[in-house]
Amino acid sequence: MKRPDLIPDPPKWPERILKRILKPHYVEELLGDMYEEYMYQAEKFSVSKARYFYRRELLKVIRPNLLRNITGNQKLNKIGMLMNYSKIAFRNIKKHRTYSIVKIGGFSIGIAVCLLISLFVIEELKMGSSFEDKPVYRVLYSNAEPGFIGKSTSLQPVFAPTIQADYPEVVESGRVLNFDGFGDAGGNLFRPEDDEVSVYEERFGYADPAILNMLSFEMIYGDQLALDEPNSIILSKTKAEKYFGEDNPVGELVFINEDLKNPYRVSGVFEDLEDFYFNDISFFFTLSGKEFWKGEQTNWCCNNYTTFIQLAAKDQEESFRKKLKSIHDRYITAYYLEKEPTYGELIEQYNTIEIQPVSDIYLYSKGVYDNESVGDIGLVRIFIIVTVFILLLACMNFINLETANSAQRSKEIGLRKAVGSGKMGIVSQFLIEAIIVVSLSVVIGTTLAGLALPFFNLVVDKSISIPLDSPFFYLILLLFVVVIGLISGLYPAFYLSKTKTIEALSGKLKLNVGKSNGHLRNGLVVFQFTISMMLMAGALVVYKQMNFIFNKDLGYEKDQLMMVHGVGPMQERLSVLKEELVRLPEVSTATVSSSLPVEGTHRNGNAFWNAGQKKIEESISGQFWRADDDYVQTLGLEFVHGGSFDLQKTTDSAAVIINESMVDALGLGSNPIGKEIENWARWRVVGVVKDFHFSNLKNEVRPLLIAPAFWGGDIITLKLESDDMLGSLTSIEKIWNSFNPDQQIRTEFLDQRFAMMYEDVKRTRTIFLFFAFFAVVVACLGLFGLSVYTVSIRSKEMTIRKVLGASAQTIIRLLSVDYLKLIIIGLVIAVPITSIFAKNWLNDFEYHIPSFWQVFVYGAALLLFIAMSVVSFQSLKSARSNPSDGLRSE
Amino acid sequence: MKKTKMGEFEELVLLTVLALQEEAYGVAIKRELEDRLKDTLSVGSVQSALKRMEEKGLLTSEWGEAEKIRGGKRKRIYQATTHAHQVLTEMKDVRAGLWTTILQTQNI
Repeated sequence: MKRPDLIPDPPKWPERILKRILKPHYVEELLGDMYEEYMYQAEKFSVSKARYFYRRELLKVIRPNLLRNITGNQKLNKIGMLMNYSKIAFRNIKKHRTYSIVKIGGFSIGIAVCLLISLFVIEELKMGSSFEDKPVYRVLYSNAEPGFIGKSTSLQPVFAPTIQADYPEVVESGRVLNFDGFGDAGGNLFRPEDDEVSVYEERFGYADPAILNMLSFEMIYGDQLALDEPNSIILSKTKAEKYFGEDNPVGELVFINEDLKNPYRVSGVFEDLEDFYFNDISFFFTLSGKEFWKGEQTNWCCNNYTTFIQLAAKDQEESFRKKLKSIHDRYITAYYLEKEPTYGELIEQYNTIEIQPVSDIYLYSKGVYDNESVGDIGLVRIFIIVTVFILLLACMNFINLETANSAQRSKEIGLRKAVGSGKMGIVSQFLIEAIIVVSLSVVIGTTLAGLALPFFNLVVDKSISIPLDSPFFYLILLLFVVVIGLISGLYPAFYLSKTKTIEALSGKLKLNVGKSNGHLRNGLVVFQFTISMMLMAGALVVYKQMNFIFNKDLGYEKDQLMMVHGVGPMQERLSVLKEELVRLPEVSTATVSSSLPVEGTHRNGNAFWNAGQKKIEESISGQFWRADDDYVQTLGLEFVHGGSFDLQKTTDSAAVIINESMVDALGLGSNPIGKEIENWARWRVVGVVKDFHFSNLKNEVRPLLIAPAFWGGDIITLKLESDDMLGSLTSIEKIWNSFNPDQQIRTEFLDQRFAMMYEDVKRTRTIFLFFAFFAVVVACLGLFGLSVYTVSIRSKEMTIRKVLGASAQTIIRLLSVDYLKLIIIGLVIAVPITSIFAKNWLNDFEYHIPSFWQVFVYGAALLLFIAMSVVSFQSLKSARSNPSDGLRSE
Repeated sequence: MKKTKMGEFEELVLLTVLALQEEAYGVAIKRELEDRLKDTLSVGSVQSALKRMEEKGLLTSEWGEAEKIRGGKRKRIYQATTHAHQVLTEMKDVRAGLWTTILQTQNI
């Protein structure tokens, strides 16, 4: 036993630690207990044992309910504060009503636009993706001859079976035929056996039996062998329901064009083809056992079939691609070298076949001529880029306005701090406010997108819907809300939470904040107007080029020309038809030729020489067309020398008309009449026409030779003189029907076909206009918000100026001149950037507008006008206000 | 019975508080229990039980005297609430009831 007063005190450090980690109001009691125990142990046993116990106590005291809370020793009313923050947020929105409408409205519009476009882009990218892993390819016939670079989807009927037989890696092949007017492809009268009336249906095509499996047709009735039997037909689900209701139509007989002798048997129903290709074909006849004319199926002459092949595995694609040129030469070149050696040499040099994965058909078919409507990956990319820009603009705008607004709230922050709010409190308040405002914008934006969706679908020709049932969609929106909310709230949150209470309350802060993020704000205005100007000027450049194309003197008259397709099979009756048609008062002249100066008509590239120079000189490449003697007159071409050949004269059998480019290319000199040209035969020049644009204005005018068409052609083109198009069409149709009672007339106006050549230009223009519009709207809303802000900040300054005698104009000028400078800087920056892009785009066209500086003048004038009206709207309010109101406000 | 959950150790501490009456403070409770249980306890375990029961409303406490033996620090005297009395009685009754049943079944 020791005397208590001799016992040394326990070590101090455990006490220090416990004071830190224990709940403060427990410290005294616990330490007291521990001390008492220590003394007791020391008295009873020894000091060292007591120390040991004392130290051990330290560990044992560490229990959750005795320790301090990490967050502090008081329980704060967090929910209450959150509710207060959101209440203040909504009060703020209400208080600055115009400002909030501009801020949230602008942001919502931005979100709506981006949402719509993102959905469109996703939809486009999804097209054909179900085929990604399937080694099925479309075969393309590619022509790299200068001036006529292009790919067609048409191959010879024997191509598919031949390469499947000769190349083991091709495990399957199949063909589709969907040229209107070929056999029964296109539009036909359709009647199930039990019905009484035939109905005209539009989209018929032919397919090989293997196609159903290769292109993964989903069969509702029948199976993928449905096309195996000759004379079978399969229908899309929609059409099956239209004619047979809910019943299974397999086995029913149907008549095409009332041909009762050759009925077809329905052998299957397929799910409507929506997602990629042949997307509107509703009826497929089988190609099994089909021959369109004698020997057709075994001939290498005619390219009519869209051909698909399936390889054994995807990884054979590369090695098979290397063989394509040799396949082309082995069959196609060999065929022509024998039949038409010059053409054979030409295609040996320039042409080949290519394969294209089916999954790429939808987006990567630029430059491929087929009659399916397909998307374009370039367009999708432009959409993505511009969408990102608009979203960026909208976000920056929003952040900008949000920051500017919060700078006015220093007093509130001062007060909050004075009554005990911590730094984190202020930070979370601003973040929560920003998130609330962003959520509101997202909700409004999504609603706007939903409302605009029907119109949008109409424009892009899609059936897009907002994926409201996808959790992923909500996740993205939530992510967006959080990210943008945090970004836009972060700057004001941290800047304002740092301020000293006194300064904030005394109002000194206002000016500081106004200036310190001025650079950021100015930068944003400049950026926005640069983008707006780029899009605006871009739209104007495209618009100008478009006008240029449509008003350019093409060298022929494209108006009032009607093409009647599919006259080829009429043969000797064709000239009678032509005579009958010309006799109509509405028709002034008519010509028969397969080749016309618009895309989609027959083209035939040849090599030409001056007569007798074949072995000596380099060849020039040009087009070899056939036409009758009314061609020049009907199309309104202009003779420079000589005149037309005469089909009636036997001496004119080798007489040809050439264009000026041909004269130049062959160096025929100033009097080319009577000179001779050679390709696979010798031709004598009887006439030279002025160059006319017979291909896209993207290409230079190439040499052309028009030889007499003794065997007719596939299109008869009529020059109409009447303004009554419907009336003319009726009379033309009447004559047609007297010649071809079983065949529907197929007409088309040449200028429509011409316009189709520039669909892509038109689309580019629409897109630019669309984006420019939204960029300007978003930029102006931002500008408007900023000017509201400036006016309110400088209202006292302005009233004092007014009191001292400043005029309204001075006030407006003072308030606008800052923005004017920024906008002009933005516009100036846009000029060189846009010029580079515009030049690049215009270089695609061999014939384009010579200069486009005017678009910058127009664009700048328009943007300045809009921007200044937006800014002066607020300035005017300030200039007109009663000075006493402004001065009294505090 | 109310939903107040009480562990075995807590119950012992509570009973000790009642037994010690005015002398019921941390170290005293600890020693009393150590004697009866013939085991050593730590200050922390007893204190933690006390605080827990205080939060549950079974105990109240107030500051007592500061003593030299405690390094000049005050004691905290604990007192059981009426609620605690109720809970303890109820538990005793439940136990007694169970024992009666057990004894009866064994007799048969």
